[in-house]
Amino acid sequence: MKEEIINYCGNSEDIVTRTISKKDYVLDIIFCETLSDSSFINELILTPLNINDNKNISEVITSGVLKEIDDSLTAADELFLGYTIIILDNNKIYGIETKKDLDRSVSESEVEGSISGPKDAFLENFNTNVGLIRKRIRNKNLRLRTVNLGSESNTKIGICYMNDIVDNELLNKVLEKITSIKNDIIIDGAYLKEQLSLKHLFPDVNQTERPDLASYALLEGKICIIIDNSPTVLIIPTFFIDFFHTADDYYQKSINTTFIRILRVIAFMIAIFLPGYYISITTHNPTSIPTTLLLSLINQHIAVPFPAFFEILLMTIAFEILRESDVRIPNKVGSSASILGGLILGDAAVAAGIISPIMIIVVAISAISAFVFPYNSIVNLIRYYRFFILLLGALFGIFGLFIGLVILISNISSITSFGYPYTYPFVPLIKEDLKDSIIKTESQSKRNPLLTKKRER
Amino acid sequence: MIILYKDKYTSFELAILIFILLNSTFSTVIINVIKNHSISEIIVSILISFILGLIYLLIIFKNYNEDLIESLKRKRITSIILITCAFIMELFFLVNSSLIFKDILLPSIDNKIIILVFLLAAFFLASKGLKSLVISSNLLFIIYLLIILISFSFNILNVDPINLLPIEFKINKLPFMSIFLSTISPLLFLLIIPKNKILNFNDYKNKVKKTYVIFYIYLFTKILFIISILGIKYLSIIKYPEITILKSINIFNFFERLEELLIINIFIENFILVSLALLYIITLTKNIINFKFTNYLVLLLIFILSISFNNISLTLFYISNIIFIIVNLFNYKRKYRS
Amino acid sequence: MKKIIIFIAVFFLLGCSNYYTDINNLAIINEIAIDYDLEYKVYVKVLKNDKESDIFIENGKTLDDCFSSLNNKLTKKLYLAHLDLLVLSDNLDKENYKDIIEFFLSLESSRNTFDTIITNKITEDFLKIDSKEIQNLLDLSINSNGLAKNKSFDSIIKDILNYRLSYIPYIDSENKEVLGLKSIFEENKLLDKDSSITVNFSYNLIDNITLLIDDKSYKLESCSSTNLIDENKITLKVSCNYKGSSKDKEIIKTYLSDAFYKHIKENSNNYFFYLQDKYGKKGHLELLYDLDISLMKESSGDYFI
Repeated sequence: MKEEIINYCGNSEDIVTRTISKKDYVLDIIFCETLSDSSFINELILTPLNINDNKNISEVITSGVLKEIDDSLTAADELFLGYTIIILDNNKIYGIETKKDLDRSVSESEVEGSISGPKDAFLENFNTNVGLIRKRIRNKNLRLRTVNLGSESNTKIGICYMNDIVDNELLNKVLEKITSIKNDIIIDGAYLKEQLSLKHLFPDVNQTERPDLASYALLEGKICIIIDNSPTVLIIPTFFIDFFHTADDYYQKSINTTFIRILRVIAFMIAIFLPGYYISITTHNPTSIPTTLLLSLINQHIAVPFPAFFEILLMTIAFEILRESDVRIPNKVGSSASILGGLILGDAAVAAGIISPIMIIVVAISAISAFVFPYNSIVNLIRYYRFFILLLGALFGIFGLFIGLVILISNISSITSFGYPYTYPFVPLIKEDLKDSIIKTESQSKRNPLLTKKRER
Repeated sequence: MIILYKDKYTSFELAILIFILLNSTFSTVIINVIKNHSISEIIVSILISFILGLIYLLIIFKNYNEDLIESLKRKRITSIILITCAFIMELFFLVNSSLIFKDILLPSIDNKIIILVFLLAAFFLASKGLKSLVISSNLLFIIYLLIILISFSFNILNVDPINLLPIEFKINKLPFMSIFLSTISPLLFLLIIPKNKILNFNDYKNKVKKTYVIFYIYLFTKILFIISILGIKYLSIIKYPEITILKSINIFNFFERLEELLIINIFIENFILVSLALLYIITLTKNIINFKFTNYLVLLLIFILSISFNNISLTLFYISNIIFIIVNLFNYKRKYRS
Repeated sequence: MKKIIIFIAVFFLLGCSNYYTDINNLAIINEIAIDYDLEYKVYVKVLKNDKESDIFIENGKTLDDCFSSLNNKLTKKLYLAHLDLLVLSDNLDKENYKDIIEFFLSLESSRNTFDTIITNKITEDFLKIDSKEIQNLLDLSINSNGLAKNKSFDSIIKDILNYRLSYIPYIDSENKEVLGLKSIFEENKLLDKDSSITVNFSYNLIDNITLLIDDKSYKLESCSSTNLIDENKITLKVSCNYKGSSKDKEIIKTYLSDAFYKHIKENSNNYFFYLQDKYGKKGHLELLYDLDISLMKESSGDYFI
């Protein structure tokens, strides 16, 4: 049997074998050196086996998980899940879990920061992630179901929900959809996110790196999906208003959050509409601006060789390139690159007469307004709609802006996230949940009536 | 709770859509009707059309058809009549609203291109279904309300009540029929919603009546507002009185030229009306001709017809309205008898 | 199928990218002056930057002729939406006003909210004044001597339609001084100072006014006036506050009522007849004047200097 197992693994070097021969029986011990914790094996498996003469291994070894395995093929699979295989007399096979901890320690979230409040973030370890949620909701109603997905990678997926709050129909739908996914590998949560959402630009499924946001979502009646080896946890279902909420909102006074949320809505509108509005003013509808502003725009525009549309297009593309390069560049070279970008795009272009200064202001304001949102999906969405409305504004002026607004709203209103309308709580109007949408008032409980079934609010 | 909101419509959503629809014919039909009449004639005709409309709504709600589309599957002639009436109405609104946008926003672009863009955007919304149309009308209502408040509150200082005098009772012509027809017929596009998809039908009936009353109060104040700012003689000369009012808004002596942005109200009204009419025509034609490209066929037909006619006469519009209203009424009574 | 439609539509619609004029190619007209001497003479002020502007002069039989020949002269496209001031000359009569009103009403791009004034002599130098200076002049004058207030073209059209008469501020072109109001269309007459003050009172345009009677100045504050219409009379009732003695009150009362009765004797009273029509009164009504001055207490006590 031992040779069978080693053959199945292809004679790889990190499979270590050890035989212990006693008077009556022979023990073969096989483990994978890179996945198993060798000190653990020494202390808790090899020493007791050497000392004790009991044939009943389950009495000798007192570690947590011990199971019997039927055939050598499953034993070879279990080897790569971190198990140590013990073969007794070439007959019985036992497997003991001895996984090594190959992860980093719990640290601060890099992407979703907050000023006050807890700062720990999810890791790449499944158990740690579940533990971070469980220590916040110490309730027996918090259930976890696991599924293994990916025919080659065998990744563990956990579906987390509160049993007395969540709606059973939603749960069944999610389970159905997850089990029907047929992928080879699921390396990260983003793969699963693609499979679960429908084909449109708007983000259907939210993700977070913070356990406090995940626990809020669970208490609202939503479902969290935890993926092994991925620090992102998916939240289903989402509504459009969720992208205007951040973690900081719940750790401040309500008036402050109301003000900041209104600011975020204004930033969203500015980020999408400002370049298009500027273009429509300077081409088709200069009647909307006062005379002095019009004259100063003309002054700035005279020296520039390009028409306004191409100027703004160039500037936005250059800005997107700058932003993308900022993410990729290593820290040591970063500062000089940002200076280059700022100088080139800013002063030098204006001084050379290629770009007018007000164009830079417009593009910079609209780009900065997009940075208000921590979620990458919304930033991408803003980018596409900004280009679209820029094109419409250049062709049709303010009429084009109206058409763009109406198309944006038709897109938002036609989306459902797992059957729920995306524009909750504005349409259908549920007054109790308007208290946490853009305005935030003091509220005792946190329960989403659209999603809950059993307990009263 | 999830089951309730999935496919069904709450009465509040529909009430907001109805308010926008009732307002939608103001800029194209009602303002032209008002121009050559005196104040007493206008007030009396508003009252008469209010009463007529209430009676009509009460009759329709008494015999609300369970599912209009199902019942029309066997009656081809009535569905063809309804489709042609809806066609003519939609062409009227499309052509006239594009004239307004051309004059104010894009004077140098040809009318046909504005029609094409508007129609494509309306088709985009119509192809997503009635539910998304209702939701988008609710979202657009927030902007709509804001702009109504702005245009009323910043213009109040220009109101001169002397323009409303004298109150004589010389009545020559009463234009109540045009007000009645142009406010009721957009509502009839909503009859394609089957009864079981409306949550709480009694609540819906009450809400419709309430919005109707609120709309007539709003219409009354709006007309009096316009007349008291401009005066009747000036009103009859200008082409677009409600936009001329917006020109005199002046906030902090800096925000002066806001009329191009405040036109979004007229845009929203006409957009929702055109896309709802398009949806109506598409669902009724699917009863008759049903293949993969019915949507696009209807779109093409409307586009070609709207380009070829420069002007759709008002009498043709009224005739088609009358036929539309009578056929809908007649449709219900038949169901009730059998 | 949807994608094919979008593709084709975008291609066709990209052809609309030329139907606009770049703002560099717009001739922004800030002020227009119209004169008539057997044919129309139009002076137009076109802005170049913040500080510089050009003035063009055109002759023509009708206003449309003038502006079309101006179009040929200018290398840029005429753009009337930023018009701030319209200057009319002294010698325009009824027909000319009709032409001017028809011209501005037929232009869709003009917003008729600009100010209008009348001067006696239109020169290029006069047009070089900024339109804001003239607005300030008129603002100052209504608050000091009560002679004239800003009048927009809109209100002129409404006045002419309603009662065939309109009062436009008159500014002297050499001294740049506000001389009062001028009535146009039915009569063509420059009102003297007292008549201008009564007209402004009857329209309730005056807030504070300083009257010069016999080389002495009297200051009236927070004035408001209403037109009361009774069975057989219309009363212009004015009420204001005054700091001073009751002897001064009598002087002011006699002065203003003399001014009123002189005004209605010598000028057409179309505004009052218009009010009479509006309130439904028939027949001949008597026009009366009533001034109500409430004396305010002078501040007592010495100021410690």
